[in-house]
Amino acid sequence: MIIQFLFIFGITYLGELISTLFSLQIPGTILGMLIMFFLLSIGIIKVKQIEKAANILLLNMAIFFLPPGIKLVDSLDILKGNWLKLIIIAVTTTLITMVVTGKVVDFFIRRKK
Amino acid sequence: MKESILYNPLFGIILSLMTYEIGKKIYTKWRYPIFNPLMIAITLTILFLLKFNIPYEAYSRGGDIIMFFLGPATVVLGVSLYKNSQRLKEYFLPILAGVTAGSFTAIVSVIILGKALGLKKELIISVIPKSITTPIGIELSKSLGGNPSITVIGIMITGITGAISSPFICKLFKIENKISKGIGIGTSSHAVGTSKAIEMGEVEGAMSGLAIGMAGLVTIFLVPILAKFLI
Repeated sequence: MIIQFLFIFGITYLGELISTLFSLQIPGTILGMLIMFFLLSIGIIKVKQIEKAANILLLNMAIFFLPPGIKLVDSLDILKGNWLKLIIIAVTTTLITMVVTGKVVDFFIRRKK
Repeated sequence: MKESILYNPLFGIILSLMTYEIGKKIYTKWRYPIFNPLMIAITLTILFLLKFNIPYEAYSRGGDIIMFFLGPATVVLGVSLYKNSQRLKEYFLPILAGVTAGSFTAIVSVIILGKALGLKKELIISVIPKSITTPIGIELSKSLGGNPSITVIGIMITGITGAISSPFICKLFKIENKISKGIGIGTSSHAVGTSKAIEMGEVEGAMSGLAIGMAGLVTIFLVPILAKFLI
């Protein structure tokens, strides 16, 4: 298990390192995701070598978002009277975006078949 | 005395695990999507901190340790992606078309709705990157002259909306293909939505994870152009 986390943390660190060194707009974690994909694709890492740790992280992903959610307490004042409007905008546009994206992918997949 | 108890990292960790576990219990009991475990946990934790007048800094000693795992969790989405690389290759164009259309829609709909509701320009700009992953969103918001704190609020509301509504929305609008579901969820509600997509299935989870990265990149390209014309 330790070596599994070692691989994962190592690649995460590498992503952060590259992102900082070249001051890229892409966050280190997204780079890390691509590096992980790449290393698995060329066979340097095998799925078996990291799968257990990967599943622990993936299946519990939601709880890692708890702290940034709590941070909202700190910014309660910034929005003052605009809370309701902001919620309306965020909720509505999220639903529209999800439907448009899903439908467009559906459409092109069907056309392909 | 009080200081050393509250500023112990274990305090924030225990509070987080407890409220999240309560959220999960409530969700498994009633199974209404509105009882999203993350949302319940956020609400309970905030209420607890406010009620006992505990500063955020005390909570974050432990909170930061939990948040640390966000990075590695994003990286291992690459594993899901690899397991689905055959699908990715085969459906690359539909996926790219969907992510581009979705990112465009996210940006334009925020601007239009924001203007219709009479929001100030600074607020609208801050909410534009709300559908993408937090680190990219914050940078984009700064480069446009927005307020990153407001951006983070928008990103969180968006993520929870996606996590709560995605099963229902996919059913209602007959988005049936697993790839379309995953890409739709990831493009509209980044990693928080993805946590729900992972529950739906491995293909959905992998595609949603892929969409986080793609939507982030596409949005970086689209925002400067669209913001110039529409704001």
